Amino acid sequence: MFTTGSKLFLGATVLSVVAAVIFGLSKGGADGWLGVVGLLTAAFVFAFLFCVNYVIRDGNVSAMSDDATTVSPAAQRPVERSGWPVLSSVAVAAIAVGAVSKPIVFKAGVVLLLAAAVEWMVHGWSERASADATYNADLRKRMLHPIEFPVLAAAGLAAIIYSFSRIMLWIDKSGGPVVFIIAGALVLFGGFLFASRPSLKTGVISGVCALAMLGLVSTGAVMAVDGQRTIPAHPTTGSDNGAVCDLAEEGPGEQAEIDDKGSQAVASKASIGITVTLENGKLTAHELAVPANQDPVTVSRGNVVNVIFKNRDSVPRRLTVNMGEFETDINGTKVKERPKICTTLVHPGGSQFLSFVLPKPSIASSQPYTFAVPGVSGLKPIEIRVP
Amino acid sequence: MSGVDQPVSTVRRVKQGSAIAVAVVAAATVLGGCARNAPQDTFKPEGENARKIQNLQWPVFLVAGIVGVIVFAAIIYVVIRFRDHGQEMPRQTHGNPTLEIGLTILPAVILIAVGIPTVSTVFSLAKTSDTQCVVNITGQQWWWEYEYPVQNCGGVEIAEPLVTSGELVLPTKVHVLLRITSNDVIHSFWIPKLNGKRDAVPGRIHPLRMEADHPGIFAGQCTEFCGLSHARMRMDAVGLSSADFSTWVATQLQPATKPTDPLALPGEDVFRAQCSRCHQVNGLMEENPDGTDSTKPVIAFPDLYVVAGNAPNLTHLMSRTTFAGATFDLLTDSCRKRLLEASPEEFGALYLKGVTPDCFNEAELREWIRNAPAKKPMYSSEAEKDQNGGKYRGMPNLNLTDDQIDQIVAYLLERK
Repeated sequence: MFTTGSKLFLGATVLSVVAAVIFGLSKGGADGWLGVVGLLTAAFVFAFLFCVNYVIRDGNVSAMSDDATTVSPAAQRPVERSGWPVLSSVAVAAIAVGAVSKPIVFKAGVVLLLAAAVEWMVHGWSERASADATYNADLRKRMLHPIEFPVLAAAGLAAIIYSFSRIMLWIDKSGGPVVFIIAGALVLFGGFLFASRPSLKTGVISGVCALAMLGLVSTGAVMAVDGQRTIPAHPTTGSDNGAVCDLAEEGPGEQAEIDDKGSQAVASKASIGITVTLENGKLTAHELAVPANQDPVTVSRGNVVNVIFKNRDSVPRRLTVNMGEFETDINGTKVKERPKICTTLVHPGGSQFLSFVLPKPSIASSQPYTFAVPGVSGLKPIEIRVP
Repeated sequence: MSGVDQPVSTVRRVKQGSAIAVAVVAAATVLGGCARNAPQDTFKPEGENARKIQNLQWPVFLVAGIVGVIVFAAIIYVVIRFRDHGQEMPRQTHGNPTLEIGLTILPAVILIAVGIPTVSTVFSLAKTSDTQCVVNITGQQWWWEYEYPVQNCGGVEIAEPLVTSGELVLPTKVHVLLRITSNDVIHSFWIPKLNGKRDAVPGRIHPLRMEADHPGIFAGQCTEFCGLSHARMRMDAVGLSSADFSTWVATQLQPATKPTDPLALPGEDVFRAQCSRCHQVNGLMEENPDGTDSTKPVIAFPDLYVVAGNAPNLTHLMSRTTFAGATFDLLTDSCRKRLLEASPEEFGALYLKGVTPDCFNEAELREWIRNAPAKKPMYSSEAEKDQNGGKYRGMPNLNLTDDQIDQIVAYLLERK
């Protein structure tokens, strides 16, 4: 008859086929077919493995004989207590709850169910491997410890990292370094203590570590529930049709703070297409990889243009992109719009990033697209042409 | 035949059969690499940059091949010579400093010998300081757009930026710098006979050198899977002499002319109503209520309709020889053959003639206008549009009537 291994793969084959049918009927469309193909592929693989296991009798001589599973001493051992059925039912409950509440609960349930199924299977198999319970327990450890230890270690590390990140996001920005210093000092002190007192019992060390872990995770959980502190945004662009972009000085109201606290350095320079520099009262544009400066600059229609503006002037300046002039019809009235986008004020020696898109060619606008810097007398703007 | 001979003969037959099978597979594999007409053959460079790669790759492959043959031969010899046939276990030795040091130094020497020209070639191919002409290239599903900024391109003055698609026209023997990017997903630009490939990534600009030795057409292909019609996202580089390139630039900068063919006149109206939502034709003006042209240009707004936010500019469609991502021919087979086989001296004049009525592959263009997604798979049905945030990926079926198709074809035929 069927061996244990072949039964497992036969079950997986049937399950995959059933899942493919249900998925295909419920999802439908191109996405549905993609899932059906995936599940049927899995079914074919499981069917192949079923055949292999059936033919080679699980690669196990004892599987050739029914005695191994019926009258051998191993088969006569009483079944041990196991917590895996309980965990499996918790997982199934999580899947059911997650299906109607939060996807994360559903995913956690699936992971838990898979883990419990594997553990349960190996446990069930190992407790009947021989008549010797100690040998069976060792066998189980030999099978699962190489998986359990790395997974548990990774989960523990993830818990520590996540908890610590929640704490750091909760506390005040200036408090972060203090917490880091204290935590580092405590770890160092603990390490020093354990190293200088070799006579300390393992239980004490484990207890201290467990308490620290508990404290960290519970604090992290509390702070995660409370939420992170408010992180003020410092935008680097304005686009209010020139109210700010035409100003040489700080803008009014909230814009003044934005101008004052705007970033003065660009961290990511990898995607910069054009570098615009203001120096000695002159504006220059340099396109990536092109040897000489360009005036006019040609950019692609409808594509993202990433610019870095470097202010080498002695006073704060902002780069403004004049994005043409278009006549629009608003409630029967023809209105001329002059869209603009600009950086916030860039301090002397600073630089700022600006990204924009010109969806229409130059001929669509009655005014040219230009790079300009408000407030610099006699400055010649650089024309931007879109073919 | 004796009873003892029978199994020996069977074994021999099996061995012979296996040897023949292996030989057939090997021969098929080798012969499969042969082709009389291979327009994307990397081993036949026709430009300075591709030649640098070729000059590097053949000695490297030669060295690697020799090493590979030696290693495989040694393995096969050892496997056969020392296979288990009941002999005694040979004497085991551990450690042979001379052999170990030798086997460490030899590969190191080979790697150094390969590494020096490799690094030199890499730097040489990355050089941009000797640029004589710049072309901006944008990949989009599933075609390439080429923009020529205002510049002196290898001695040819380009006073206004110009845009074209499908065919990258280059002046020969000029160091051209391609600045490659993408409008939607990652593509990869590759003209095998002129240089290696370079990814086109949205938001980034990747430079690539390009130079053609002589006038002619050099075929290419997008080499990064970019969606449904990736296999039909092709491109041609067209090399022209400096004089021919100058003529081509002058032609491309001309605005579209008013149609003259009686069928093309209503074709302009259909184009204005249907096609100009996405396709720009420079010089096409909006219509006044009395039917005359106004002074206001028709501006396409593909950003409202297609994910890439762009569609090919058709002002000079018939100056090109292909359309729809260089996938379909605008030329008939015989005219295409004549162009491909033209000598470098004749090529420029033939190419600059563009698509003439006698060479026009009308059926291909007609099928495309009738139902583009049926000819080239694209995500452009109404249902797929809903899945793409209300925008198409590619050209949709416009459900035009036969009369409208006739008129548009007549209109486009005059777009030179």
